[in-house]
Amino acid sequence: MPITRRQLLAVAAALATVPVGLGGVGWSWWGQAADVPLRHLSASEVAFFDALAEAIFPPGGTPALSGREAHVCRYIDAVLAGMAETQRDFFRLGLHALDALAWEQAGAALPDLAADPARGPEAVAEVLRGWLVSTDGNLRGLAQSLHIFVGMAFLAHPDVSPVIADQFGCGFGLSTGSTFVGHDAW
Amino acid sequence: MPGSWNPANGPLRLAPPDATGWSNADKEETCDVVIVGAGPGGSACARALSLAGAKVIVVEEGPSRRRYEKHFGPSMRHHQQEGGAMVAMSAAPIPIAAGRGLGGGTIINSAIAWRAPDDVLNGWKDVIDDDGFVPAALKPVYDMLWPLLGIWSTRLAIAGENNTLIVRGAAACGYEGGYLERATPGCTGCGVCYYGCPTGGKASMDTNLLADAVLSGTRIQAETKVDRVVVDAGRAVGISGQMIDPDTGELGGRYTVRADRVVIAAGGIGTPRLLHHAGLGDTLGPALGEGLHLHPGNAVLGWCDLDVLLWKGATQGAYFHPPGLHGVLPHTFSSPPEAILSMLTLTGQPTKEALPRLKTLCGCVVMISDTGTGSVRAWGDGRARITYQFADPDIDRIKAGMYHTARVLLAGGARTVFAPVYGTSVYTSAEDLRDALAPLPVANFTLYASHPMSSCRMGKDPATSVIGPTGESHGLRGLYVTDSSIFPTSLGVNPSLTTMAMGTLLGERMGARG
Ligand SMILES: Cc1cc2nc3c(=O)[nH]c(=O)nc-3n(C[C@H](O)[C@H](O)[C@H](O)COP(=O)(O)OP(=O)(O)OC[C@H]3O[C@@H](n4cnc5c(N)ncnc54)[C@H](O)[C@@H]3O)c2cc1C
Ligand code: SF4
Repeated sequence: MPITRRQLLAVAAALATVPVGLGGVGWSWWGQAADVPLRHLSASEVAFFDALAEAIFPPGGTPALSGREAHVCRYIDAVLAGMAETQRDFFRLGLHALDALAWEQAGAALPDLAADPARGPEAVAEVLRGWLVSTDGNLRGLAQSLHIFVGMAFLAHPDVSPVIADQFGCGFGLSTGSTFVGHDAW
Repeated sequence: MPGSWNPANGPLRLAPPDATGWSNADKEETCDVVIVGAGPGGSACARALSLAGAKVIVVEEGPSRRRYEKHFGPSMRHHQQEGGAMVAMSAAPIPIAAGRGLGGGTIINSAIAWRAPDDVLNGWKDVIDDDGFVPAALKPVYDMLWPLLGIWSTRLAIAGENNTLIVRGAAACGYEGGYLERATPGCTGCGVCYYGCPTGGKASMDTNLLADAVLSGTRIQAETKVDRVVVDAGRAVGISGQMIDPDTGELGGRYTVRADRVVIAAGGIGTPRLLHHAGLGDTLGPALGEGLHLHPGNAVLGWCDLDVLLWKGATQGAYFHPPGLHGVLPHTFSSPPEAILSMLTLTGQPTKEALPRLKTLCGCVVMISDTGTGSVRAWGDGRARITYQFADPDIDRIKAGMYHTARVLLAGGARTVFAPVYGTSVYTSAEDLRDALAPLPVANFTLYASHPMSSCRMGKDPATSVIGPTGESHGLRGLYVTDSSIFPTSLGVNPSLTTMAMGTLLGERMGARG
């Protein structure tokens, strides 16, 4: 049975609407050497996420770092590693459906839009904005989930977290007199 | 039922118990009772049975030790069922969170503690045809659990600004409300309960009921996903499952237990998922997986002039009762900044400009006791296939609850309010939000649920329930269920304490029968 793009989006959105639905992510992905190969994302998927990350978090301003520079795609790759294979497949199918949708709406896939000097990240941002306020709940849900994934990676980067405010003033590694304490012990 | 707990020494706070992890070799064991799932239902039942002298093995899918990290990702990979990707397909997809590991949901929950409302328990009496679960029967169990778990009202010193704002706002509106009671004897208010408590301040099951069961002889086999119930001569006589390396996902050996009784306590989604996947749908009857309730909810947020830091303070520490709205329970929540950011639907430089302002957001989630129901089946690969039908009155009650919540936020200090609902904007008055919400369909809402229940109900009628008042299933002798899936109706309050109470009572009943 051929699967329609709408069905695909429905499944992918369902799998990806979960803001906390993230697989195992080593929490210093931003520091990985560039030559460490990604486990799951293909080159075109990396380009998709780089375009998206750059559209949400462009270079300049505070912090100066951009989404691409924060190595958001390495985080997403680690997210995929934590998913069950079927979930991973659905998730990736969703990405491909979105890229195809971008082509339909803006005449180019997201990475090509981003690379086009006449259009650039602002054109990607416009496509993404359209998805985020779409009347199609599944499309909206999927776009929102990708926004959270990208945000999750970017906001945890050491250059970015101070801009938001210290997140972990207490907690990890702190003793409160309980019989077992300290994150290292686990 | 003392166990190793001496009330004179305060709450029971034990080190997490030892558990056997995965291995490559096949393994077979025997015991009196095998329990699948180490959440509150399974842990309480294991403790009661062990104290009665039964030889118990608890089999748990999650890791054999805590895998908490400073980020959502790693914690969720190990400590959420299906990696956090469970969703009910509905008019609006509803993400469902459920915990995994030694303690089940209590590892990642906010530890809010409520007793079941009397009217709910009284309503169950007729359905179950047994007075073993009426308010008077549960009271002594709650009375035991409160000091054992160290349940106390959230203190101002660790509440954080968001909780304080709600308490202030509710008082200003004249609504009944206050700080929530939580099972958190050593809470420092760090706000990351969903990651697993990094300070050991939360009374998750691995520090009390489950650990105490182990001190009384229970053994735990973790990193093992049960996928079969062994049936012999029309009776459940064991379980079988797959051991899995939690780090690589690599499959290890098969694990099999033969037992006199099999207890399934895999949770509101996990129990029907497992029983359907194991091919017991026909045996256990038409009610298996039906009647799922979720306590769905939607948030209301506000922009303030002061720093609120929605990600700090007791994770969910305050509530109020909106007047005239039965079964609507707004309570606070903590949220990591990126989840809030996505609700603002920003792109480009405005996203970066919003970053320093995130700390001024306040928020409260509006949870309802739902009349809508859903169904749980299993996909071929064992994941849950969940559907849910919203009832119109439920969405009206969510909307009404959101209006009162907006009033409370504004009275507590917010300058403007907004909701993650498509078709709405930012408002300076609660009435404007109410009017904007009024015509919108449920598909526009951003819903969330973490209280799946009632999918394997207790009752006297096999057409509408799966188990009877002893916990044993109508359709298969020797098979019991003792988790939140057995609630005959939606509970209306956060369910973990009632799950522990029911697990304790059913464990005691089983223990008494020998
Ligand atoms: C984020 C969050 C916040 C919450 N906050 C609160 C709160 O503040 N207060 C409150 O009262 N409630 C809260 N809850 C709900 C509460 O935690 C649950 O209702 C409760 O844990 C349900 O208990 P249970 O025993 O039914 O199942 P669970 O706690 O879900 O335990 C089931 C266990 O079975 C295991 N399992 C499942 N399938 C298998 C299998 N096939 N093989 C082996 N093991 C299996 C799971 O890994 C899990 O450990 C919250 C839940 C979440 C997720
Ligand atoms: S708020 Fe922090 S310290 Fe308190 S129980 Fe939750 S995780 Fe533990």
